[in-house]
Amino acid sequence: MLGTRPAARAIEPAIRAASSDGVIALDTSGILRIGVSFFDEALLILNELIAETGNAELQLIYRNAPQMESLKNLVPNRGLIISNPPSGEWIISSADLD
Amino acid sequence: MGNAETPAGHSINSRLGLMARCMEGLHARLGMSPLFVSLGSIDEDIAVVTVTRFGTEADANTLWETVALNLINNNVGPANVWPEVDGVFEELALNAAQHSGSQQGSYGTVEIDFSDDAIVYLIGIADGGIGIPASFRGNLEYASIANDEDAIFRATELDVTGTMESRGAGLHHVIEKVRAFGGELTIISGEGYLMVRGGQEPILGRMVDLVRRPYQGTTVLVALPIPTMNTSDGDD
Repeated sequence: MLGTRPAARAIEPAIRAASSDGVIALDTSGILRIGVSFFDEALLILNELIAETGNAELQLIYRNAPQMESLKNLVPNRGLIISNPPSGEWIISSADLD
Repeated sequence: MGNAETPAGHSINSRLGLMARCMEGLHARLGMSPLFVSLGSIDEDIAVVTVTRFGTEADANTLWETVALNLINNNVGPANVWPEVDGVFEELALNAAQHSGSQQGSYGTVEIDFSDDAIVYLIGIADGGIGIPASFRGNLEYASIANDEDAIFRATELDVTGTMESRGAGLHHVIEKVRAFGGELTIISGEGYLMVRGGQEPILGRMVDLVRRPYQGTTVLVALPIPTMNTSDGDD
């Protein structure tokens, strides 16, 4: 179970390390549930990285996406967009690209 | 306080019963007599988690996992709804553990109610803490909010919290979910309350007009209905 904002900040170094490739792959398979605060904080980290690097094409690809579908509704709140291809992953990126 | 039957068809007594059971745990802890003597009986609902005390974030996390696993094991209703239900519980329980400052701990429960045309997931959380209005008044940005009900309303907005970090999506997300399900939400805190029914605008008011509260803490009740297709009269 990953619910809190500090839990998301705990994986921030790994997210930052992955961002140099332009694509951040996040996979929480094996974890039963992802909470709202955890997911929202991950979105804020993505926004921080986009601002810091100036790379508006940076993507967060969430493999084995959370089972709580309503988490998608948090994405536009943070100025981001989400696509959900048939493969099931969530692809999150800056709305500025649209 | 409202109609006896909700749009989803489940009785208001069921929701009050849940509130009663949730608050009874808190009252017992506080050494007080019950508020809802006549409404505390358990009917034919399924108790996913009976009224359970929790204190820390770790406790809330453990209880969240229990709710999630029990929903899976009970196998009632569509599987894609279960994460939404335990997600509401998690957000409310985490709020109580993080922000209530309750010396008595918090109490949470999840039940599944059945009516003729819906399965209704009921989530209840009660804490004996300082309440949302007092928490808000600790934040200079919101210290001027005079009414408890207005403070509760502000707490449901995105990134409005009683802390200085000004990031919070939980209650906002819960209300969005309640609207999407055509459900109901009631928040009682301090002397105020806020109710959301389906897509309607929130109703705000003062609890002192309804019942005298012996503590300022927060009680939240959420009902998420899932319409069932097996109506006997075939109207659908």
